[in-house]
Amino acid sequence: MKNGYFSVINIGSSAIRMQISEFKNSTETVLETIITPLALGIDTFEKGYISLEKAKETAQILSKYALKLDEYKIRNNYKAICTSAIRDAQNKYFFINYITTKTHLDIEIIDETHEMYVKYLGLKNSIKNFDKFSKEGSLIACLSSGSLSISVKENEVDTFNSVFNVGYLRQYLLFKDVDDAIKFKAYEEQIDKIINTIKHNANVSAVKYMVVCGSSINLLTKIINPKSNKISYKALNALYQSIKSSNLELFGANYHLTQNEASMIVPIVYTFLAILKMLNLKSFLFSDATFVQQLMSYYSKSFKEKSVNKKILNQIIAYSKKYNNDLKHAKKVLHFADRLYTELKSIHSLTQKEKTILDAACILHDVGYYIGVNNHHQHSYYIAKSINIPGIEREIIDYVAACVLFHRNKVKIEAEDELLSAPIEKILSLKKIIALLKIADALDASHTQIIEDIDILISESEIKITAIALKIPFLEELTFKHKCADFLETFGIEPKLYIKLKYE
Amino acid sequence: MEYPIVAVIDIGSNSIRLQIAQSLEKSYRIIQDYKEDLRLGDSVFSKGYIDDKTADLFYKNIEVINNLIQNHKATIIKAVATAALRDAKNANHIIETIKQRFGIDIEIISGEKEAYYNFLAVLYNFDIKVLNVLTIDTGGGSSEIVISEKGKLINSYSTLLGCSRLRHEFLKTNPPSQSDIYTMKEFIEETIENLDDVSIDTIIATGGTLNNIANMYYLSQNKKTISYAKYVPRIYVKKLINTLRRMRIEDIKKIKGVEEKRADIILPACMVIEAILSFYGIEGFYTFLGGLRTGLLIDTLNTLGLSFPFQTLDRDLRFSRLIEIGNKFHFEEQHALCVNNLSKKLFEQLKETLKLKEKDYVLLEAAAILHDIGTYISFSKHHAHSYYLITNADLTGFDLKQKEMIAAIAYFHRGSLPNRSHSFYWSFSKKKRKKIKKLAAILRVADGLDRSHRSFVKDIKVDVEKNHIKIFAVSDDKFLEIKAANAKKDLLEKVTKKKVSII
Amino acid sequence: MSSFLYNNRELSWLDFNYRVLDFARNANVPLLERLKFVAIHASNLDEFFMVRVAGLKDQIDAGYNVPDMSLKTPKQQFEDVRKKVLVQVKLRNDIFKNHLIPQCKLKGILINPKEYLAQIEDIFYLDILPLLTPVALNNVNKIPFIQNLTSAFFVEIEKNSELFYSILIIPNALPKSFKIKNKNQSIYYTLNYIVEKFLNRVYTNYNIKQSFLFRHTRNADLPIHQEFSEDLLEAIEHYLDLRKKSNVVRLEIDREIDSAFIQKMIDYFDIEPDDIYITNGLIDYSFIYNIAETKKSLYFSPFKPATPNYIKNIDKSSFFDVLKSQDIILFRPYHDFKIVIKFLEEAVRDKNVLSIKITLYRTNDDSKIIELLEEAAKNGKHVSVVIELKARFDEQKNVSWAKRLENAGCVVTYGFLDIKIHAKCMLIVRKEFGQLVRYVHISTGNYNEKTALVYTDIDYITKDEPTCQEIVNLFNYMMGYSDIFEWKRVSVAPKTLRQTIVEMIDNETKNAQKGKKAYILAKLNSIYDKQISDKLYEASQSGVKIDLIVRGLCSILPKVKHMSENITVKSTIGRFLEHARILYFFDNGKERVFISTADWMVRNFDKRIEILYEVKDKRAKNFLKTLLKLNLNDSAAWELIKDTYIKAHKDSKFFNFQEFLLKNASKIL
Repeated sequence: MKNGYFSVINIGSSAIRMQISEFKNSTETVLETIITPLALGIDTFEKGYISLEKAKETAQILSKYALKLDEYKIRNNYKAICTSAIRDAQNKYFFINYITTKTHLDIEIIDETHEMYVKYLGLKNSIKNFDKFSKEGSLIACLSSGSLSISVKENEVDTFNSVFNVGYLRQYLLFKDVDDAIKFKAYEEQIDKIINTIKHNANVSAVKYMVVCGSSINLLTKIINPKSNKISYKALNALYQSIKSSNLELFGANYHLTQNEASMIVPIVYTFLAILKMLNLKSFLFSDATFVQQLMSYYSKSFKEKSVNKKILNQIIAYSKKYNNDLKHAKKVLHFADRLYTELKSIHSLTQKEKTILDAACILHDVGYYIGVNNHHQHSYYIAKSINIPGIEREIIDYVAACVLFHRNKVKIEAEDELLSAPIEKILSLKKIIALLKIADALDASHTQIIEDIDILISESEIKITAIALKIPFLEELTFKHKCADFLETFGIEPKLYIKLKYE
Repeated sequence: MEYPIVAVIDIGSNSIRLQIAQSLEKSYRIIQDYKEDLRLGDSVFSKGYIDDKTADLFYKNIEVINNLIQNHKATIIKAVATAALRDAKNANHIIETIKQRFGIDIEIISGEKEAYYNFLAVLYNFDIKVLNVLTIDTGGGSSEIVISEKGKLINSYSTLLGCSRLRHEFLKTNPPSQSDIYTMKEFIEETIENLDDVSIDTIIATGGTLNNIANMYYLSQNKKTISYAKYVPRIYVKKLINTLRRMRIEDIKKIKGVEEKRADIILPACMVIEAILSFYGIEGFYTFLGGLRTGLLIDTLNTLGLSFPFQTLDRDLRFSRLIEIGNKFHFEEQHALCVNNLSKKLFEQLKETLKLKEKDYVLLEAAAILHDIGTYISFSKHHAHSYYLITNADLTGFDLKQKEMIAAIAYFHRGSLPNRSHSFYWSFSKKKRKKIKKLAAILRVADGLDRSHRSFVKDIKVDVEKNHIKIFAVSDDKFLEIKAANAKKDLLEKVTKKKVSII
Repeated sequence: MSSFLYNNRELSWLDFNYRVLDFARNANVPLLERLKFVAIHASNLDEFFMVRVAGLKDQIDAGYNVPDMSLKTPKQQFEDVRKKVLVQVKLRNDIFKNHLIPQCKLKGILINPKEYLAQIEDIFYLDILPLLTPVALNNVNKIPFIQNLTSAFFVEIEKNSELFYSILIIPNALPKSFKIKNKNQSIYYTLNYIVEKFLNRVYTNYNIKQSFLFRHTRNADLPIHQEFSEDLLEAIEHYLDLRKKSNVVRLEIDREIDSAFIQKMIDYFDIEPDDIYITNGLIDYSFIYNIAETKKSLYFSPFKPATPNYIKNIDKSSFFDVLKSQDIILFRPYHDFKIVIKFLEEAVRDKNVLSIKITLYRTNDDSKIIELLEEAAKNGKHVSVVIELKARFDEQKNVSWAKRLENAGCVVTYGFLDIKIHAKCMLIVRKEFGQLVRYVHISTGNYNEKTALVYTDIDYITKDEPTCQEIVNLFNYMMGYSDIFEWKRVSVAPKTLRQTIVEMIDNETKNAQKGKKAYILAKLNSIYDKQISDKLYEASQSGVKIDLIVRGLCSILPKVKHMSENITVKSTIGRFLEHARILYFFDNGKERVFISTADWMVRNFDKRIEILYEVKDKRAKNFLKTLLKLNLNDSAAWELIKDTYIKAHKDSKFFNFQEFLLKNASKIL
């Protein structure tokens, strides 16, 4: 982050928050933090939309915040981020539009996955040994007022990712008219259902650590106030039992909680309790960094992740397993693609990011088989599209999806209108990637890795690809013929396949 | 137990296909599907034997197939050959060579066996327990025909009505002379007349060429061609014949959807099916893919002692297929069944009010069982994923439209009610939209009544009053379910224009 | 021991006003200043009636008769108040008539002398008579509307043996008194006196049977007082709806009159007999403010506010440089308030300063501060001004300059409806080497150059980041951004301030119980809060030594056996109004010193935004400690024993606090 001031505004479910920080030589000094309570969540989670009054209030608050931006002259150096309260509101577009016209602030909605990623990085940077955990198997739970997001990591890749609409505010609202007798039961069943889904879809037995963040923590620590950033099952359970046995008003009073806070603590405590139980762990670690702080660090780029591309690739591979991906084939294709990419740099001039897309496409191009053998490329497309792994930008996903869709001759890129909207240079590089993918795929058309490796030689007239094969790669040759058309069309030079049998 | 991986090879006159399947309890999953158009028929039916060039191609293909088999560690391999090899003079030599080179044993099967496999496949894919069905598998050298009444096999024939055979015997010129076409027509009709004259209500065709015709039809209608089973009306076949009969093969190739290698045999295929349609006076036929393969696979698996729901469960085939698909996507069976059961009860007691016909229930049932499979792709927006998976699943016994309706109903089991933004929804006719809404309305409530996924609610009693519907849930512990159900009654109130309360 | 544990609020205040009045008796005080204190006592009392007594009467009329913490019901309170007031009025007249007038005479200042009436005849005719309009009273037209605190004559006149009644309102347009020179004498005639003397010239061809002067005081109708309890609020609000139009809370009459007339007045004003106060003396002393003489000896000796040594050359250097190495502390008026203004001035003109934030409460119209803020805004600095409009009785004034600031482009916010902003602070944000540095000024007194000469207050300037951070938050709080902040360095009412005080007291109590030395020294304007009083009693009983210097009202009963033996309460009254709040807690040797804007009263703790700030800078700390010690030994101070104040001892080791500082301010800092 270059020196100067930066502000982050978060329009959340229970409050609007602002942080203004000064950056000098990439060290952050927090100048101001403001929290203005405003229960937007109540509107969205109960009515499904945000009432005009609330929108007005928001506008008022934000126009004040805008003054702050003027005060620091950073009208063009801030981020205003909406989370679930807005994301899930039916009238979110009206809302955004209303706010922007009233306040002239650009506010954007952060999508679930991205939100998870920001939090994940936040944890990564605030929790010791975080990487060790995600290697040995860890579950990351972010419980905020709107949602509970769970991701399970093993060997540094996500084996499970999901966002559930059971934020503590939501739960509280869902059952607020329920009489206390069954309230607890209500929360418990609610969460147990989620726990089941997680058990059903994630390999929880591998989890050795649990890491937690989200606004729920601030409330929870208010009561437990642990010495370190660790909360034990015992403490949690004890707390839960005591709440159960005492009445909420009293309980709240003891800890100087508002009525609502008091009632919201119940779902919070139980949620964590249930997760710990599922994992049967003794305790979890937490970070009490607020989302605003995490956003600040994120947008000020003070979080750094090393070898992102590799990480993404691993994530994709892990993800593809779920669809019985033929990894032998996938990895072979990946390998060929890699060779082509490196050898043909002079021709394709693709960026590192586009390489990532190519790699991902290599892995995913055939996963569609799982849904159906017919038109598997469309299914691959669909599966790729529905990837939501924190840390993989939407854009990448979209292009990967496009690639897998077009990896078969059946579909021609012009056919796909949705891509025509993309800028021409994007489409061009997309075509390049597809061309490479098709060749690489063709080189293992039989899925039997007959071709072990390739040599590539560039001449004016052609690109000579010599395949070192165990036997005659009959099918490969055939497919190569069909699939090299794109390459010729895109790069204006024809690739030719020559076979060299290994044992000759 | 370890479920074996099975490979079946089907060597037809036009193409050679490999299908490798992971067998599962009560189901299997295709993990490899390989196809190459080999056209042994061309050589056999013109020369009477398989020439060296073709043979060479044949061996190369087998080599690839063999690699694939090893690659997938398939333990059971079943290879069958039909008409082409049956008639080839040098068949034994070829088979012997392959046996020695790749250790793959090719069995030449009789037309009747072929028909039987086909029948199995049809049985597996269509609910023919209630129908009188004629299934025809038009290959290159022969057409295998099976007639069944209410699922019971009556008779099976192996006819000489193979497309390649007909093309080579009759259509000597290009474009074919009208007289040739006429003699061919007569030949076909004579053959058909030998079939017993029973009342048939459904005709199901398999085989690449007829399937290609179905594709052409769907393309001409701008329909998605991905669907597994297709319906082709007779008028189209007639039209097609009239256009094709005067065309040169080169021009036929140019027609949208025509598989180049089939360009010359589409006409005969059309004429065969048309002849059958007119003989039984039926206005259209169904096609579905890989009849022989599927049948072969099932038979092979049967021999392993694995049997399939439609063979074992005494519940109707359609239902068991739903369960299979559910399993494929790791659905929560208990929840699915519970919701289905509750939907049924609601349907029974609401169908008058909603003006629904008994037969509409099958759609609701399918939707109820599959409504959550989308979670396999991701929990958020899983209703949308369910929609996609359902539209792309091969649902036995539902035509494309029905399948899409099921998907739509499943889509609306949660989230926002149908509105302008749901384009797929508006592609339905008004009538169908109404139906979808009504069934989804039921599904929503039913799903709500099992919010805990613990099947607390055992029974339902519905009271319909003038402008109030009371739904009594019978359950030992139902409080939350009722709350959830009430939260999901919106659509039901909308479609009934009555107040709904779940008690 | 006395059955009640706390002094009564109203009576305690009256006691304070008594000490003010007593100052007029103080021989060491120059004559005209003493005279002024009579006027102050009078105007204080007026306000007291308009607000406090009005409040009591509302309670009584609302039928609310729950005892307050002094165990007195509103009715009892009112009766006691009335008694005390009558006594003080009597005393005031006595001081005025029998001490001050004679002494003035000696100095050649004559007030309403009989001798020179002739000389003002034409003043009456030319200036006064034209403005006088008698109103005849009859059954038809009742008494005319008379403005609050306006004197008027009631006249009984006769014409051909028929009796009439008339009201003659004294116009506010006219000066309260007229001065004429005679040789080296100054002669002052009060308006009321002149009119009375020439009354027959108003009612010509009538025969004046008798007349008297009266003045009535109305309920100021201020928002009901916050320290009232919930149920009372309800009672009052309910009652207010149906309160009769008349809201007269006091009727002063300048002489004994016969009951017939009393009854008339009661009817006219729709009041109770005990709302009538017979003064037997002037009923309006405000004319005193018009008395101006040239002789220096008649006034307090003028003084030149000092500049502390450690910033002697501040004019030559920059505040921002100075503050790098040290904090700045000042004690007005002994130290020059202009230093603070200079600081602001430098900030306004410094190109590196980005923004300025300040709270304004009561300020003077021709305020240099306002000008500077305007200038800053015009120079494109971001200026935010938090204005409290609820400054009692000068709302009008406030708004005028608030508008000026807005027009200049300042961001002006007007505080809250229910909470009064009492904190005084200023925040300056400056860019230094591409990094933001913040400076704050925290004061116990207003940004008002005029009062800065009369009120004693602490000014403190620092760049200590934790402090600045929380002042930033404080402004965000006051400007309505949010009220969720952590207060560590600064305690803020109504959030944490009370808690902090309580904890500090408890802490001393604990130490005392452990047998450690424990000491509390607090200098405040007033203490009136049950919790705090109890805490202090508790502390005293545990052996904590507690010295309180409380200028105004005080709920504590010191020196009560088994309750408050270890508590002393003193009160300093002087030429300057003691306004600084300074707290000292021994805290087992840590010796923590605080400055604050908050008195220890319910409203300050719970209904106002106030600051309590611990001073950690060594120099400043020592300075404050010295001040407290000196203050404790003030010879002019009073001491409260149980519920009565007595003059502090006169013995040698004592000296006049304020005078000492005037001479030695620059010696101790």
